[in-house]
Amino acid sequence: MVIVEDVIGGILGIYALAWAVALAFIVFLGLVLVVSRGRSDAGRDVFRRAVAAGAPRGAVRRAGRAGSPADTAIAISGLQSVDPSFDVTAFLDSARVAVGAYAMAHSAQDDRLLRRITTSGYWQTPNGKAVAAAIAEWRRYAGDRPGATNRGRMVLDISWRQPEVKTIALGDQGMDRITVRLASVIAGAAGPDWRRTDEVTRFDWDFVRPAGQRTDPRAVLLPRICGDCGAPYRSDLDDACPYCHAARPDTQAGWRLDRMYLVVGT
Amino acid sequence: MILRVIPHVGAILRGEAATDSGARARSSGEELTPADDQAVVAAALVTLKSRDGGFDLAATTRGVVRAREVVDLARQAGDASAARQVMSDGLWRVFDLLQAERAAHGVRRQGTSVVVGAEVVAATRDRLAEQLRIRLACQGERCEVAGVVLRGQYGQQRWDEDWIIRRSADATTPASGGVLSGRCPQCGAALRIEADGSCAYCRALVLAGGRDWVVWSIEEAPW
Repeated sequence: MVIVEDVIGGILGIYALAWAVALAFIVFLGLVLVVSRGRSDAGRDVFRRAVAAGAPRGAVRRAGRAGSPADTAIAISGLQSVDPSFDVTAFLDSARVAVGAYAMAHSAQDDRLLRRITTSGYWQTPNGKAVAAAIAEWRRYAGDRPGATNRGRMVLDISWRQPEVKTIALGDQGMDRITVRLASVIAGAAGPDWRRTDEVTRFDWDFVRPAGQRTDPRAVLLPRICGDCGAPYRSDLDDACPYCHAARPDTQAGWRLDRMYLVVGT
Repeated sequence: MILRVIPHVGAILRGEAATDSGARARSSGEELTPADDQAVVAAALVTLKSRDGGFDLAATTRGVVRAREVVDLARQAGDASAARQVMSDGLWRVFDLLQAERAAHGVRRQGTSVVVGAEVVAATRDRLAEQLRIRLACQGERCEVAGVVLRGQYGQQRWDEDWIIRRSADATTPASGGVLSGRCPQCGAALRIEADGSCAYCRALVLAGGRDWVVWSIEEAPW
């Protein structure tokens, strides 16, 4: 009888402890929300520093940690001396496509374009894994419903602020690498009542291509017509021809998104 | 539920630390960039004119207003291809993505507006590119709905939009007037753009910014 009472007491104790831990966790997340979205810039700055200090390698960069504009200009000149067709305006313009692809993956759970313009290594980085996990969660929820559109979330607008080339590294481990810093601005809405979910996030984006590759000025655009049967694609998100199902090539002028870092700082 | 969240706590905290959301997003990142000092802008425009004798600020501004009309019509019709002729390649690809997303959710844009004023609020030039930020004062109605009003409101309003145009530092104003005037900067023909972004007549790539001004970015204050 005493043993039964001890077992029941133990089970009740574990049950109560689990609830206490769960409640403490909820309170912790609530505090995070209050601090990170509250009015106090000082509290938010402390929070940001703490997160940056504890973040895994390759996930976060502190604001201000980048090359000087003069160094960047010299590096661009160096790149143009070996690749005369490289144009920084065209490069930044194609980098913007990555912002759109990320916004669609992050805010609408549609990663078809992002998968086409990233390296396989991107999905092994902390931020790539976070995007993949969020999309996997949505797919588990959506099950086998038809279509890729998340009916509960939508993107209304995507833009960027102050894009700039921060660093250029040529021939680094067999790759040319360009880092672009910008703030992505995503205006969105989430159901069922379509409340606004606007976000402004600063990122460093690393784009890579094999060292020594040269720019093809005509390779700036995704093909709009199937090379096999001539049928038009319906949108940039199509991975394959909707008629003959041939895979769709994606050029991105040779550059692919390899890493992205959240930029933390005030 | 909680057990599912635990593996993602790190990503959630990092996202919170790097992201401004809600009212903070609207009051900081989404607001229009403050105008540069007018004397600095005027000096930059003089420098631009001295390098490119064909540059005409009034004609360029008219071209931007025309581009806005083209993009507005494309938004109203939900037809991204209609805006292809004025947007840079990358901007148009994102615009096209957005139109597909909006169509999937049945989002419609309602209301018409006109530009009642325009001012260059920033002019920059470096070794690689020239860029003008033109602030358009707009008046009219704008509203986006999908069963409910998603943003904007019915009734007359005034607001500002920044239209940023950019071209290569080597580019000069074409005699034909160029992209913003609806002409190919290479061959001067009336601008008709192929699916790959090239001129239908001379096949030159005209929307990469290498030859002429293109609409490089559109920034709106939160609405």
